[in-house]
Amino acid sequence: MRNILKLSASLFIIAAVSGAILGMVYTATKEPIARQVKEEEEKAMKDIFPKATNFRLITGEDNYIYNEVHSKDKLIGYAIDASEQGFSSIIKIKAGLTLDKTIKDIKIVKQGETPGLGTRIEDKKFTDQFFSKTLKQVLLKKDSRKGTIDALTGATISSRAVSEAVQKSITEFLKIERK
Amino acid sequence: MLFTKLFIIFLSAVLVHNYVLNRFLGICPFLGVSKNSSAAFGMGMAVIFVMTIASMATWLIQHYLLIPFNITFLQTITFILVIATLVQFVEMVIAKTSPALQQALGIFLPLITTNCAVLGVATINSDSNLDFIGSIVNGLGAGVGFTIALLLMSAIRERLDIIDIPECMKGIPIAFIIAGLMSLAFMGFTGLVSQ
Amino acid sequence: MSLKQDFTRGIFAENPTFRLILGMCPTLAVSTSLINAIGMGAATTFVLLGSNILVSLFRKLIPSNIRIPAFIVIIATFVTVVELIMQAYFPALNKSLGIFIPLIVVNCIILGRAEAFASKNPVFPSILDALGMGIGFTGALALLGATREILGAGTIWGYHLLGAGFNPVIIMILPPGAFIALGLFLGFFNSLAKKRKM
Repeated sequence: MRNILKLSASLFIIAAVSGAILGMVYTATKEPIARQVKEEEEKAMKDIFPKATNFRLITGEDNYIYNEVHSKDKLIGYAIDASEQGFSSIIKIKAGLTLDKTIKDIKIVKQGETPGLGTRIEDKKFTDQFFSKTLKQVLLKKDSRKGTIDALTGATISSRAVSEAVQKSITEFLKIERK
Repeated sequence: MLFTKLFIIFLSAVLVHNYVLNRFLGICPFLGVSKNSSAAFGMGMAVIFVMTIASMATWLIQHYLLIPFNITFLQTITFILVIATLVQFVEMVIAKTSPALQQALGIFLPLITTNCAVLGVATINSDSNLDFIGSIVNGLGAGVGFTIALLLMSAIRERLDIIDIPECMKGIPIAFIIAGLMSLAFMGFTGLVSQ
Repeated sequence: MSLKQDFTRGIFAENPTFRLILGMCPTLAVSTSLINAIGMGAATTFVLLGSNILVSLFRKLIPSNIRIPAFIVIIATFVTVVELIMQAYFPALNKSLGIFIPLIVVNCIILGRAEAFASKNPVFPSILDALGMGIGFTGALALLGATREILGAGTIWGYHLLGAGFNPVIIMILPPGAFIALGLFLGFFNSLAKKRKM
């Protein structure tokens, strides 16, 4: 019995010390992390629409969120958040559409793909391929004859997930718009 | 529909994203216990068992404790403690209830706590937002995949003992080269799931 | 054993990666590029340093039959600290190392040093031990990372090295390349160690 008390006491002290350390670090990093997340979100939006001043939510369902993008009360395009199962993680993207429904740009917001392989979907070389494409063109070259997107070497699944996220979300968006 | 989805999760964990050969999780036991087939089989069974239960337990903790209280930053520390406790607990239960099972799995269970594949499964489950059943199936699949890789490896290594290779490559180095070739073979499964 | 030996042991004679063959999972997974390798090495060294210091401070307080859970709590604490710091200040690195940051917890090097060294030695030698082991691990990762990056992508630290004409051996940055490169390195260091002894 005494032994159990002694064991619990020492475990308790260790847990208390580690709790104190964690509490301190958590409080210290809470704000930078929140800022980092927000900055990243805004940076993705600003990168796609440099002139944007405000956004208006159209609809937000599970996988897809649609926003109207305004610049000083004038509609300049649409921002779409979409996600798709990649190779080893859910890939979240943000895509910008111009008023004539061509793609303005896409950004990878979140992903946890294989380091050095799938993670390269974030490279400009890959995302720039989507620039000014229409819905029908955003398939991988190896999947469709009309496709115009080159998959990354060694990361076909990640590349396909990005192009599918773009494709499916825009298809869905056009359906909503027609209504 | 549900069944197809679960089957895809399972197949993907076993073959496509094999935890050992593709995600590099659980390399230590993969090298340590692959010297003969019977030990490999025992270890494999123990891992399947623990991974499935751990997926279940960590999912419940994640969704009923960490998320409601907004303390997901404690995920790593909670998961590792849960897994360590779970392994101890399973060990005790087996010792009390089934001597035969204990004989088969006994020596492998303590080793599993530091098997990073178990913590890996729990973390991947929560990263990819799998639901409860999905997590269990993923855990089961990861375990089965681990066992397959381990059994294949042990079968190869048993034959390797009698083969003449350069002195400095004997043991672990050649095992890594073989793992590389196996991993190459498993890459053939890549297109299987996303279609 | 002298203090100098405490420090250098981890770098050469008992290099955790090439000699003790510990911590293989992160070694294989994040050595796709030099920058990932250094990032992972630094994160692991930090955890190793923190856990060695705490374990050494508490070594007389921790009863031996619950030392493993106690070590795990200490290690997991520092891993969470690293996770938070990475999220706050190095988001890009955090993204590319992904799941292997939380998995530092089960890196056998750290538990191994806590058990084999820090729980038996005073704080100062434990710090030297952690630094030596950390540098040894980081060095090994960097060597592997640089090799795989040069061969597999033709770049080093992200800069093109071999010119546009170079056709990268993609397999080197894919999973099989990790196993094969590490196997060859281990063989090489084995033969080196054997020559030294003779």
